[in-house]
Amino acid sequence: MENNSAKDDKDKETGSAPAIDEACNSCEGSGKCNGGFGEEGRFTRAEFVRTAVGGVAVLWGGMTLYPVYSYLNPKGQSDKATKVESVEVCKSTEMPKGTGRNFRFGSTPAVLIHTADGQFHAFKAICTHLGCTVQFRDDKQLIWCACHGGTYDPASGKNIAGPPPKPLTPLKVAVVDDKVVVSA
Amino acid sequence: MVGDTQKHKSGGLMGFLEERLSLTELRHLAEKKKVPVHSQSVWYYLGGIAAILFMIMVSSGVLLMVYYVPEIQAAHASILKINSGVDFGWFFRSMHSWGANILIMVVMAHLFSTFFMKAYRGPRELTWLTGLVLMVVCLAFGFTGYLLPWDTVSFFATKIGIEVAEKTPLIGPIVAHLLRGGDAIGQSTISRFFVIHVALLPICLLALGGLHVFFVQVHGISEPSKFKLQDEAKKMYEKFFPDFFFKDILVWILAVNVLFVLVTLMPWGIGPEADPFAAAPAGIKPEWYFLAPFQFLKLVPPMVGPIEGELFGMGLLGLVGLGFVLVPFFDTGKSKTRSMIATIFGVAVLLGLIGFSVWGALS
Repeated sequence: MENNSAKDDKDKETGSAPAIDEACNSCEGSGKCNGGFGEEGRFTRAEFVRTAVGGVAVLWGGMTLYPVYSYLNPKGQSDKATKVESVEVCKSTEMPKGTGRNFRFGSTPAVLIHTADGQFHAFKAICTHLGCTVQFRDDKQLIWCACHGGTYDPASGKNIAGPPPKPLTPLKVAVVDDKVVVSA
Repeated sequence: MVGDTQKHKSGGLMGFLEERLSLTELRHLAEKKKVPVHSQSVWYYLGGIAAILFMIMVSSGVLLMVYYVPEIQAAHASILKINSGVDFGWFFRSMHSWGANILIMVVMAHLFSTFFMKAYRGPRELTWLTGLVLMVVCLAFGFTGYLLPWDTVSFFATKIGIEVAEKTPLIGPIVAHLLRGGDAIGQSTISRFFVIHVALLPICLLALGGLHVFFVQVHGISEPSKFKLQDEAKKMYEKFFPDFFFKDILVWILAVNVLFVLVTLMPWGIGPEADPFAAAPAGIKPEWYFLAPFQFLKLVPPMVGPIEGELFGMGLLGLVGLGFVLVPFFDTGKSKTRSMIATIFGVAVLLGLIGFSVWGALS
């Protein structure tokens, strides 16, 4: 700072014009600073360089972040590998009326229920609240989620109590040659 | 100064260090630093306890990394091996798990004590804000570390946590996808959580922790307003070094002993291995520090007007967080009414936190 004022004094003495940056420093505290713009509000060289450096920094940041984002963003090939159309869950005689069981449907957990009226129903076992895996409760004859206590109707999959906002996603069920086959 | 250097030139190791590090100057600086002595001084020790616990977490974490395998088929087995097949494995793993829980408890107590002592007021706004982010980092440590043993509870806790994040408007789905490493929790999630837990978060914590301590050094230790308003003659202070420092060490030893007692008497176990296709087991609950939001989200109805209940609940929790962020700018110490409102807000949040946690634990 002292050096700057000394140089300013020297400039006054010699009558030479200070360089652009020095001109910016010299108006410190005088309340007349125009933010690096020229007298007629034009871009000064210093302002241009500052803007250019900032712009290049933002561009460079974006150019760096995009590959990082792409690298971290999975492409979901594993889902294609495990996608299924139908699954043979069990023999119909293995499931008495009023019982249910969880099974794997491709990459998704699913639940099969044999209701008291003799019908089979299947749903994706993902709770529509926060994604926990639901189960059929024999004692209550309801589909139930242990995480936040949401319940669903075992015949329709409709959300009937607790926080779930939507019904469960239904799956098709067919009994073929005494085997229970579930399909999407 | 020249004389000092001359004096220490023949002083062996201390002289060697003095010449290069100006230890005397550092000691004078530490002696100059003063700690206010009053009825609430006890809360000043919490930051130090958090720091020593963090060091224990780093040491035990490094040791666990020697045997832990972040692979879906091997993760659970490797923790079982650490717990029962490696000498003192149970000890270091329990130290890490218990240490994490105590650390979060201490950080929460630190946060609320500074809140009620109004230490967030200017010029300490940045100290408060870095502290808040550090709290979030600690919770993120807990969340990411929880999945790594790959047991049933950890699997569902992660599933719920990521689903909650996914509900955030706009960025939620992208963040959830990046965190999971796909559409379902699996190997990619373990790998990502492992990297976040052992590399990313420690860097964040060290940087922010350093900044936090730096701000404390810049502004000095905060004094409660009652103490500040006393006559200068009546105010009592003690030197940071050696008086407070040695008491600090004593408290660290006590904290570490409490940790050792818990580790030895109640070693941390591990649940059955996670099965992504099995139903969530009855009675499943998150760690105690996530119990309050867990219980709160249970109560929110499916729809609140046109808004999905989950989003509404998260919005309310977000507002509480925002309250903590904005409090230094709302209660600057100039208005008694504002100060009172801030205190009532803090008491309400604390009571809500305790109430919902106890409710969640008992239900």
